[in-house]
Amino acid sequence: MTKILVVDDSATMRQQVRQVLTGGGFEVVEAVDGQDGLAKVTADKDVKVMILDVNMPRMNGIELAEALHANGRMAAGLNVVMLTTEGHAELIARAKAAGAKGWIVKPFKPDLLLAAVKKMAA
Amino acid sequence: MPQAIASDPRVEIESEIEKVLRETESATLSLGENLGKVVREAEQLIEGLKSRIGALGAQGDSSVGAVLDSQVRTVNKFVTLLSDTVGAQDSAAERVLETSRTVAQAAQSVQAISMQSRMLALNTMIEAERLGEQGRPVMVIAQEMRELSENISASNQEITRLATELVPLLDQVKHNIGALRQQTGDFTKRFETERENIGAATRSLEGTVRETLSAGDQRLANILALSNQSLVDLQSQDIISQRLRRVLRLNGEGTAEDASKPLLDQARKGGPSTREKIESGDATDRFLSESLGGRAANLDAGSMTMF
Repeated sequence: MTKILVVDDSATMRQQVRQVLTGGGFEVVEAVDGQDGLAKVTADKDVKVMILDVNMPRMNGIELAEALHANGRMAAGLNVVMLTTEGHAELIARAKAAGAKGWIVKPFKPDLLLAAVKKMAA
Repeated sequence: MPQAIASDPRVEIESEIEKVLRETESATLSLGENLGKVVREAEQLIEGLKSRIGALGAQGDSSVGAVLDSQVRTVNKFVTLLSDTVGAQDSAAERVLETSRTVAQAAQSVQAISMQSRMLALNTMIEAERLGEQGRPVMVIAQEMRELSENISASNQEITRLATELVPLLDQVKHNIGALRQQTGDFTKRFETERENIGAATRSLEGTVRETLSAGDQRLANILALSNQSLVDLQSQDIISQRLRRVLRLNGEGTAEDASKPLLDQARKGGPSTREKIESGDATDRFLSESLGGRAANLDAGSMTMF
């Protein structure tokens, strides 16, 4: 079962994403902010896809994506998609430059998120 | 006894918003969990309905109507075979009856011939007696003829008796076969009528089940769609939370932090306040895009861009 790490400081969002992805047959683990996400993905090499919020305390999603790009984890096959209320072109460009594979604006449509994750997990 | 909260409106607002955030998050999580269960239950219900009574509403070879038709064809074949066999037995019984009657008639003819033979043997014996010694060989033949005629007569009487007894028995057999034939015919007619009734009832039942399943499917699909939409709507709690935190930040800007903090502590009920979370790094009140100038947000909610 493909493992997905959801990083969001909102418990509501983590619950929504978890329900959609577990319904789609994925295993879901959660992190409450960027630092927590970085620690969990570093400790768990089985994580195949990460879903990152942008606005989070301690370390935001863009910084986390850049850290994963810098430490070579993305090059090693980790796929990242951003899930956020943000839509600023400059932020999207930074995420893309860091190696993120997609940008979804909240509130997300479950079928679209599932399709995106399935594509990245394939 | 808690101390009275000082009437700084900004601190009170912050305190109230903090409570709202906690309560809405708790309520939203509960709603999300329950709606998720509703969706899963609805999906399981659809699958269960289809697997349990789907066969009744199925079309094609697996439908109840098709299975019933197949069984009817098998019964029809059996009834036709039975009817043909009974007809053949009736015909055979008729032939045996005719043969028995013929045998009885033939036996009567043989009886007459036997009688004539005996008369002939008797006359021959009289003539042989008259001839004396010369007629002796003829006398022997005439006696044998008489014995033969008597044996034929005895056998013939037995044949006649048997044939006579056989005729009413065969009549009974023929009658029974006729009754069986009649019953087979009646059964075929009744079966045909009932088959049509059952066929009509089955078609009606299949139609009703199909309509029920279809209507149920549609309603469950509506429930699923509405539940899924509600789940999407619940995500607004996160968006509202972020905006409320921003309101708190804007509300706090320009205030004397040292003066407000003790009041905030007094106002706190439960965990740390949003302001404290923000200050300790456990929450964020800033949209990353706020620090960016230039191009404004241009993506619609729910949109997805894959790179």
